[in-house]
Amino acid sequence: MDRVAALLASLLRWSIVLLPAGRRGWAEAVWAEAADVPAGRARLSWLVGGLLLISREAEMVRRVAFAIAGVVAGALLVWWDWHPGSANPAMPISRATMIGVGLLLAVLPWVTRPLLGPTADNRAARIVRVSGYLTVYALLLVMVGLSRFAGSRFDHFQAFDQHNWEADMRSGAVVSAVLITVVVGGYAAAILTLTARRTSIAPTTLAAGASLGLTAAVIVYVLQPLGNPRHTNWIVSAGSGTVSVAVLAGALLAAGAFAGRRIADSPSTDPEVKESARVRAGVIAGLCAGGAVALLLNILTITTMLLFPRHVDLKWANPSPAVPHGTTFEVQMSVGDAAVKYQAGLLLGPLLGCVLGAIGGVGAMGADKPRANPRRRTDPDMATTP
Amino acid sequence: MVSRSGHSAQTLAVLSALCSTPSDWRHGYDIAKETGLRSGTLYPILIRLADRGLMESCWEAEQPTGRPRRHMYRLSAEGVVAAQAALATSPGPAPAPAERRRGLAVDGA
Repeated sequence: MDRVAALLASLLRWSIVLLPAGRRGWAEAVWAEAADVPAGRARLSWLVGGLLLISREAEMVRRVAFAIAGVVAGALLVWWDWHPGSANPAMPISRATMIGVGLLLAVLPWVTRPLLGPTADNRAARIVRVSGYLTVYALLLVMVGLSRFAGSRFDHFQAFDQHNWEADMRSGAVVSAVLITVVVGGYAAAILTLTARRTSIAPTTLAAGASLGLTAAVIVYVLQPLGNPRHTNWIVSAGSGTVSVAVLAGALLAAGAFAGRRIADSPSTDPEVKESARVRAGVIAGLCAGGAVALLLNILTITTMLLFPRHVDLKWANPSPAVPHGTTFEVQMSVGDAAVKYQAGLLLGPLLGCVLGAIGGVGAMGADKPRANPRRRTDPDMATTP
Repeated sequence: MVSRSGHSAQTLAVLSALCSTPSDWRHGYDIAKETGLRSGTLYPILIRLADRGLMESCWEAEQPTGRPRRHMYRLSAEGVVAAQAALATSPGPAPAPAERRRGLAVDGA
């Protein structure tokens, strides 16, 4: 029993590093006092209690469960992407990319935690973090689906110049691998940063950005890809496009304006501090909104294209009107080409969100007056502004 | 079970133990012996009390021979007031688990 106790004491001693710096003293205290506890069951019980304390304070169960869920989700994506029998020379690179991205998503929360701290202690941060991460996995899922659908045209492909074609496919796959890793890793890192305790983003800023972005994405999806069969003439088509652009820009501006107004209503009297805080809050809200729009619009639209390729407005890959359109090869190619445009939105959405959010935040400066409701006076965005 | 003061029976037992000699520094195992709580129950309560500013903690100043330095605890001034209020509004001190197991009467603080 003494050996078991010694083993548990060593385990307790080494597990202390899992705790945040401010909590380590408590586990060290349990370890230090174990020597006073009578040997035998009482000491074992004391040491087990210390391990339970570490498990609870380090949120180990939840963190390990999330990590396992991430690894399982990544493994399922790799397995689904690993369709056998393909002659596509890009497949090994695509498979390696999917494994790398799956590992990146599983490891990022652990790597960023010492730097950023745990999830901020508010409901908005928790919801945005969990739903944002799930949405990133959903994006990977549709990317794998797209790779299977559009990439399967190369399963038994024979080019005129096989050697050059293979080299071309491989270099394209490397570029795609870098882009996918940067985009998916960037979204995951942004979600973890914006919802972390140390960044202290106001819950209302997060909630406004995410909810306005989601609303805009659903409206645009209903108008454009889903509503495509109703675009019977150019007036409806142009009107739908104009409304979509207006909704997208309006949502990004409104997110920034809402976040900026919260700052404008705060009691600080220094106009410079207020202005920089308003811009910062506007940028963050716009970033959330732009990211949410881009993610959701990609997932919904590419899913629709994969399930109902003729429902969306496909530009045929072969522009010649002399050839018959709609062969399986051409549909697969056209869906792949159309998806690239939406995937570019994954980069443009957050950038545009930052710009329009900042404009919206500055535009909220007209509301510099004291609030009637004292409960809404403090705002973390103000508190963290230097 | 939560008392009318909003504290659990275990927290009241800890407050009672600390309140009996509020100026003395006590270590965790000492409190555990008095309350009958296990370390996995006692330390989260101590952490919560310290987080709320109701308890002060420090390490023993000098390194004793033959054992590691202990972490010491006592109620803060605010903690003494809060503990007395909590113990006054509770129906009676909670029996410590060890004492419950032995069927002993509880010595109120």
